[in-house]
Amino acid sequence: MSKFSIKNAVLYKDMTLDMKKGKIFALILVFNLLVGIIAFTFLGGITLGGISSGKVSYAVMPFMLYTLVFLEYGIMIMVVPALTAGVISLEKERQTLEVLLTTRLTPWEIVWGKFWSVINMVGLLVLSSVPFLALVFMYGGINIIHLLLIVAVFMVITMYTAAMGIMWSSILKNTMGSVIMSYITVFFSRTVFLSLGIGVSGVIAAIDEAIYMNMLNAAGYTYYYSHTPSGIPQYLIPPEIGIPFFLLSPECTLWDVANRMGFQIGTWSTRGMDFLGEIYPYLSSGKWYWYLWTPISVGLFLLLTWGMLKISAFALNPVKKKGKKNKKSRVK
Amino acid sequence: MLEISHLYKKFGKFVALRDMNMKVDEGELFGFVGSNGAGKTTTMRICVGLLASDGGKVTIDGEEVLNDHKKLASLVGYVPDFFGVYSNFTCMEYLQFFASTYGLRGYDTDVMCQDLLKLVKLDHKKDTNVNGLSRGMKQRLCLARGLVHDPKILFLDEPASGLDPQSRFELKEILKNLSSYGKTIIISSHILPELDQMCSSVGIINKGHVVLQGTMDEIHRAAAMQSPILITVANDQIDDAFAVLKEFATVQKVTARGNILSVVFTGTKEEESVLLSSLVSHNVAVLNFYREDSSLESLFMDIVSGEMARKAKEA
Repeated sequence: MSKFSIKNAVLYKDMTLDMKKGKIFALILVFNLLVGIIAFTFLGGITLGGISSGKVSYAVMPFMLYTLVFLEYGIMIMVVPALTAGVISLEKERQTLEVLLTTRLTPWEIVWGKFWSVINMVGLLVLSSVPFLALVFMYGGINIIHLLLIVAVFMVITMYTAAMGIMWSSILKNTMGSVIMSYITVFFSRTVFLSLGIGVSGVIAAIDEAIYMNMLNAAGYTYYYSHTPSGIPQYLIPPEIGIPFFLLSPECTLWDVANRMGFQIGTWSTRGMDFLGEIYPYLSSGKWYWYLWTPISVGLFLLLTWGMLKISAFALNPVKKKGKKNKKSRVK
Repeated sequence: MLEISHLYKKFGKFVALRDMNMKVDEGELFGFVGSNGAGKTTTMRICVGLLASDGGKVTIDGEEVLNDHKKLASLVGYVPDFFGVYSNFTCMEYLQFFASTYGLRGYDTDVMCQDLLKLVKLDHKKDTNVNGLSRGMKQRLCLARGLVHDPKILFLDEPASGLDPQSRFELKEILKNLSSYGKTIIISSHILPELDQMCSSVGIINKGHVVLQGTMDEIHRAAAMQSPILITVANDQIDDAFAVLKEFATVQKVTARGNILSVVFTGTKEEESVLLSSLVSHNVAVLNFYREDSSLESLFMDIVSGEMARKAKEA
């Protein structure tokens, strides 16, 4: 076997044999059609606007990038659960999983192979759409590193989403159940963390304000926005407690990485996620976590992905009581 | 080669295996016989790592293997009672994929896969999609899949189930061929006459433990012990016949039903003929001399019904 050959048999099978299926090509075609239509609509609007007014609105370019990125994101959260929810449960239904488990492949290797075969497929979709994303280079302002960063973070979020589908596929016995649970989990994880972030931050801010007013009154001060007497903490409970929920929201992470160069909307500077500091005054902008938002968030997603894949492997293991030795070894 | 010691498995309150002990030597074609729910499939699934036991151990060549998945997988091959196939594969691709799960790839592996297809008489279907195979062919392909990594022991769970007589015959020939190459094969089956014909040894399992195990000769002797020789003599020579039979140490018990003597005889076939010639030489008119059906099937039914009778007695 050559040095660079794929050692995971499941991954090798999915990449070489399953890729021959017509549905992969149909998926790439439909995906790029959608992205292309939106991209050229933007381009057409910019061009027509330039022709009629004599000037090009460069501020539209970031909007084009956000739209395309979030369009791809929207397609991804619809497509990935469908791709992943059946990877293990179909093997169970076809009665091939038990045969696989009697080979030298461990449950972890099976899950790992299935996971990477889905990621490769989605990676192929994203890669095929990069030329459309690269249209933003036409008028400058966005560089290739930034674009590659966006694609990288997008793939991490894809992994996070794929792991959910694989987890349910491993836990549940039938494909229909795992499809339903995968979609519920994907949508739930998107809405819950964002809502919790907003809710928790808001509640804590309200509690902090109430405590602050009481402390001011007790000290004989009138409550002024412009003057904070020393010795009286404005935020007894740190409002940043709500930040971790925002960190677990893929939309926020994608917004942060896509918006790194920032742009102006009126007096607002919207550079990455530190625009939250503009929306919630109690969340000070300029703090260290605003700049490390994407790395921290990506780290959390990778950790959760790892955890879900481990759960999948545990669910697949038919001999759960006795641990499998030689976990690190691969089929050589 | 394979030794199962005090294996115990419980599903909720139901005890599937209780103090299960079994030994299979290298090169044997071992028939694993039992009624539905006796514990055959449970035993096999524990031995191939698809089920955790609740007690006991399984050793192959003296080494405990259940805790080491990769080692176990290298030593055993498993052909379950269902056809787990990938519909978008050809026969060759199917074998190549499963070979790759054991880390086998490349030209030598391709040649080995072709040889396996030839062994199971599917070489002419090498490039045929698996979906296009008959049931018998799929079973032969699954057999080839179980052999792809050259395991020491091959487990087959009801391999002939659902196959037509010709497919069963072809499968039997392939298994006998494999056995002649020194492969250790353990087959569970309900088709007792076929096991009777091809197996070198048999284990009969009932209610989670092995009640009888041995070579086919030993099993047939045990069956024979269960099946008496029926000797019909002339009405006035019953006492003479009794006198002759008493002289033989291998005659355990003689009961008379009219002029038909039922003789429990533990000797060999040759000693049976000596018994007959002794009766004739003592001028006993032997009108009929035959042994009741002593097949594996009849022994199996005796064992199972014996268990049922005991249960009825206890109740």
